[in-house]
Amino acid sequence: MRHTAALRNLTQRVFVTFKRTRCLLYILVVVCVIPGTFVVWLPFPLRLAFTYMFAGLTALALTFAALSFANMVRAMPAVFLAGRGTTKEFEPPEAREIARRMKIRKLPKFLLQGGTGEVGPSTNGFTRTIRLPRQWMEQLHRSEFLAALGHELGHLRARRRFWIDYLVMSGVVVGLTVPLALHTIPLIVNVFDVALVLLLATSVSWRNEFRADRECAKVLGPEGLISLLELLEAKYGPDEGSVTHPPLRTRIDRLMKLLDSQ
Amino acid sequence: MMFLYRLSVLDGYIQVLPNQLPRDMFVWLLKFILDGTGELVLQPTRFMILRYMQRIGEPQYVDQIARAVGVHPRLVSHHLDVLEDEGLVESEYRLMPVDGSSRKVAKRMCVATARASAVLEDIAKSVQEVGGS
Repeated sequence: MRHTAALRNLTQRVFVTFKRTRCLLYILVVVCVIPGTFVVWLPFPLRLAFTYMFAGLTALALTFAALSFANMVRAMPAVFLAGRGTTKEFEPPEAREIARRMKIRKLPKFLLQGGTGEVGPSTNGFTRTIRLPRQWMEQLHRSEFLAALGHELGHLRARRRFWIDYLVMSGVVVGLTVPLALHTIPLIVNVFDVALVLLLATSVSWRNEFRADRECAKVLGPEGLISLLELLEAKYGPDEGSVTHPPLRTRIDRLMKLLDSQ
Repeated sequence: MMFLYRLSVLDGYIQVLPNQLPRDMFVWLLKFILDGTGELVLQPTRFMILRYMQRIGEPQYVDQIARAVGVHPRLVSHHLDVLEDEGLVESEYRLMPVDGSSRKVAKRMCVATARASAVLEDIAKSVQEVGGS
């Protein structure tokens, strides 16, 4: 855990923030498309200048992206390893009713996992499994624990829309890659693809999280989830979001709007 | 520069954080680990509501509390439910007249319990101890 804080401090000190990473990727995408399309027709000095700029920008953007992904990659072994030795199957008493209200026909499998440190709840849509940290169940108030459960069930409820988003994203990438590939060199196309996928994957994942929040709020009300997110924000400090999750403050603000509308 | 050591009852880990959180946060967890209310009191809005109610000392409507702490009444109501479950707040419904109408409506009146006062005093004392060490 100390390493986590150290990594976070280090990345903040060298200005590697998620927002800056996204800005760099946007710039890279634009550079690939606009000057990149005409690069083969440029005169030699301009082509050389573009090559250096393109190489530098690519290296910088991908380094930033790698560092931004580092936290997620670091968490992966914990997710997989911790789940094996200490999981126990259980079904929260309220889960069936929440699933019924969300119109989820087949109840997923619930696993209670212990000893995972800061790893929160997660959902596997393929195996229809929801993992919930034992410590959350023991320490949080019931309403907040149920909000976390509702959010995960919201992912199952909205999984089709997630896949539609995913297919649209793939279509956009292919649709933009093919015309670009006809006008420029393969290296630029490859970099363009990587940068665009990193940007769009974040966008799809964030939409998926917002959707799960909304599904949860529809059934349980937004109060429990707001309370839980505020608690997480107080514990871990303000964040700027990650590749998979939007910033906590943005999610809280969106849920706050539902307080008046529901 | 003083660093805060954040203790979590969840996994028994200690994490060093920059001095960005209120000092109370450390103390809340430290002092309430034993009776399991650490996570409960850690919630910032809930703590704000509890502190306000303890300071006022008189029964308050949900709307009054919401205005005073600047939180949506639905959220206040939710936090009051949680605090009531933990015995930090007591509430009852009273019939109150409505302006311009002969009808009355039931309003929830809440007051902090003696336990809440003890909890908050304990926090204040612990903050002084941490500050002095």
